[in-house]
Amino acid sequence: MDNAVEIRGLCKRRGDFSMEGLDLEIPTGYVVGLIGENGAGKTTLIKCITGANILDSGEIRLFGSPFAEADRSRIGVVFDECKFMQNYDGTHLSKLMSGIFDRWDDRVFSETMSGYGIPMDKKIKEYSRGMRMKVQVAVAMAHSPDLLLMDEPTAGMDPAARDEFLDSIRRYMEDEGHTAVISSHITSDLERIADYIVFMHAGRIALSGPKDDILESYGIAKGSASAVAAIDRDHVVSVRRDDYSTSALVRDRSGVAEAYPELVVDPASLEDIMIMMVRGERP
Amino acid sequence: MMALVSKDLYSARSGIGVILLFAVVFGVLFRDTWTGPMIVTLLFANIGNSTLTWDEQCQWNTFAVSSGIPRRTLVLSKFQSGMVFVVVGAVVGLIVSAVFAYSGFSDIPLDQSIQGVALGAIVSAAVMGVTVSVTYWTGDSAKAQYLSIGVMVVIIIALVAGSTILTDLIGASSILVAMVVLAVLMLVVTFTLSVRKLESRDL
Repeated sequence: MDNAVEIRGLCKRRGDFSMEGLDLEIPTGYVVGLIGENGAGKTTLIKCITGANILDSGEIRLFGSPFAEADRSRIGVVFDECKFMQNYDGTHLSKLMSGIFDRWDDRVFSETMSGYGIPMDKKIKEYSRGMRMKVQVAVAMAHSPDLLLMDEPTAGMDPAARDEFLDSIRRYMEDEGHTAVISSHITSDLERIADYIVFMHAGRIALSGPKDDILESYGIAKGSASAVAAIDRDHVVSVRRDDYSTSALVRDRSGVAEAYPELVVDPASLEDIMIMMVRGERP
Repeated sequence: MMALVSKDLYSARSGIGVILLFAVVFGVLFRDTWTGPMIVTLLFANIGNSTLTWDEQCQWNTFAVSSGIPRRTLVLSKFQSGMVFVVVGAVVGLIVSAVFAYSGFSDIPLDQSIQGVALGAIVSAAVMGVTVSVTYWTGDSAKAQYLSIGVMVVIIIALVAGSTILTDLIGASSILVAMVVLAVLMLVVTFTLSVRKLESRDL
């Protein structure tokens, strides 16, 4: 399997934050969902891949080539904030981008903008936050990138717009050579679209793997404190106690349910996994 | 590259009306000295520095670098658009001077006005280099522009104070040549420093 991105031993330190020796492979043709709490390192990782952040050490390969030799115009980016000139309208933005990207397609841009219901003659500063995010998506799509890197692309979008956005990602992924990395706090969106999940916590990858495997194997076991404490530690990822019950994030959900019938073991959503990993205690 | 320069020119268009008004006001106020045309040139050339603020506000460089534009190209485009504004400033300065001279509104001969415009263009180019460089080093275009105003004032005071002495010593044309050399040197140094900083900074 070809990798769109290969990261080896990435180290990046900034203030209190540090990312040490991170390894990651992003296979071509898949949607990778990046989740994690604020400050976990998702944006830093995306910016390292785009080249906006300078690595302290480590290596990044894009499309099989060393970073310095890779054609980074093959990357489409969507940031959590619109980084285009606020006094530009859609028409002028398209003109500017056509001078930047060799593969710029004005028709695709206009159609995407029109599909999102965004007028081309309105200035970016007059758009709502959700509309500005859509403009970024339209720009990213219009230069036909092989890799889409998106940092909180659905931030500020209403549910209908998010659904529309996910549809556009699905259409984009119809080409087998396309790859998408989506960082999002809205884990339900990632459950709908991602093939792989990378969960970041405190600058490291705490969990990664195929989404279906994760959702199938992880579970939340609930019961009395003593019953939860009795679970084999090899199965327990984290434990959370509140006034009324104790719960544990467990691997091998069905195995735990079978071995400990006194516990209620429910499937864990990505949000459950994230909350338990961030707020729960190690066993 | 052209796209980046065009971006700056397009972005600057909203400020041109206000700067033109200031230019005319200062041109009228200083119509009887060679500093009038120089101020007009300086004002116009300064629009280029405003584009740094707009880039910073929307974090344009983060997008540009993420789109595969080399950091060196970003800096080079900023110097190029800065020089375009210097040339535009000089042209406007010349037009204002010519209008004043031929309408009899100013007593200053046209050749002196042209010298003022030339000085304005040279100072503007040097100041532009300093502003771009300080912006990339500090990541703060407002700080850079304050510093640049300081640099500009120091250069102008040095020019005014030293011009009489230097004119007697080496002649007016030699001063102009020396200033051009100095400005080019400053542009080379500030460009090198800007590239070095931008290539080592997170965006």
